[in-house]
Amino acid sequence: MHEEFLENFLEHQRDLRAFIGSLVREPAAREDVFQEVALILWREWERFDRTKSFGAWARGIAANKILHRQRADRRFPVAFEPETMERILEAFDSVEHDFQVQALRHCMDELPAPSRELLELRYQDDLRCEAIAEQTERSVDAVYQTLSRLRRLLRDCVKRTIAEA
Amino acid sequence: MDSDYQRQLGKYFDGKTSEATELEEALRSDAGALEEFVATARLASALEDELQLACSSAQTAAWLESLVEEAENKAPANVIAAPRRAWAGLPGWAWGIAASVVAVMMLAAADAPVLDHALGLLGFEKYEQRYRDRQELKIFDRYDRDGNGAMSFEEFDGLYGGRAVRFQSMFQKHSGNDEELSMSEFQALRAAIRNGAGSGERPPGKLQFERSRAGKMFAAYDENGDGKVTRAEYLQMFEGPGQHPARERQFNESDQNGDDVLDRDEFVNWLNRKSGGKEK
Repeated sequence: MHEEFLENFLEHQRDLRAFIGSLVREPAAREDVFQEVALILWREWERFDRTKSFGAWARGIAANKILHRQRADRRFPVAFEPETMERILEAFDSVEHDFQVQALRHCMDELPAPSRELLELRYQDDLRCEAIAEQTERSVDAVYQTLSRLRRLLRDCVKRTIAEA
Repeated sequence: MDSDYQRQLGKYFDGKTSEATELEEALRSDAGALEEFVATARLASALEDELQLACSSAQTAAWLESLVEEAENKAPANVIAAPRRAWAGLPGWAWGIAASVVAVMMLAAADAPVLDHALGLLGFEKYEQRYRDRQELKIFDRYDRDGNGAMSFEEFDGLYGGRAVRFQSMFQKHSGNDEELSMSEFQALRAAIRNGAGSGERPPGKLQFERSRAGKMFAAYDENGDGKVTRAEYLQMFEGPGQHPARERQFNESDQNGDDVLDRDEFVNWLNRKSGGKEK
């Protein structure tokens, strides 16, 4: 039983993190929610209908947990109204997971060194854009724009790589 | 997708959560915006997953950030940035002379670490290394809680926000018999971790293995993180404590060298057999 749960959890944990991270932008709160949801999934695993999607089940529990937290504490860092959260949840269920890790690694390797360094400062060192701007001697807006552009580049590259594979 | 929405989206995912009102309107009214939002969320999460695997925790990053800010406050960025821009078109020799002049000027006004950092930013790697060494020393002093000049694993774990267990074997290797890191051992270990979590430290392919599904399964079984799955760890992943003859048999078959633990290769072979694949 442990093993079946583990396989499902490992397969979907990245997407679960993506969903929680799309709603809760503060890292510590995000991690709290993720861990709470993981615990609930484990406890409720016996009752999970195996014919349904594990990912959708996990996201549903996460959405409820976030709503509950938001109701209990108005300062809980969620930027959206419940109605918008509901739409995002539906979109996660319906939009195909359109990238693969192997393709992402390939595309990251293709990036020029300065772009890669910028992504590392943002995602590896978890630095705020203001701090990245100081370190790289760019304006804060330029950092925001470059990061957005890099994400679009990576997404396009991933799509292309998957299509060519 | 218009560029204004792209900007909103970028700011949201890069930390400006207070500016989500316009984003929220788009998400409610535009299916394309919603799709873009989900794709960006998935990509951001994948990037974090990929890039954070081999690096320090957010706590360490915050600490390093405060060090950088401290240095920048002493030597404002424009002091460094302006000459760099002005000299960008000069030939190398002229650039070097100009950099030296600025360095001497700064020497009068700044303390040594800031000067090293400034020279490092100007391209003098030796000084940047010296600056980084000083930063490492500060970190070492800060996390050497008992101030005995050596860092225990517990203190090292504090530096990584309680998540240093993944570096435990590297720690043991660098610390030697006394199980504590001297400053130079600490620097060597940190460098090894920074360099891709061990291109030289870990066995070839280990990073890729850790990132793979099999690697994650292995990590889940390997409860104490020692790189081996014991019989108890193996059985625990199934029905919990008790007698499980069929599982015992599986373990015996998988333990090809009979040492009563499954190493990485034996584990992967077991997984492959289970899923109908071939042994490596």
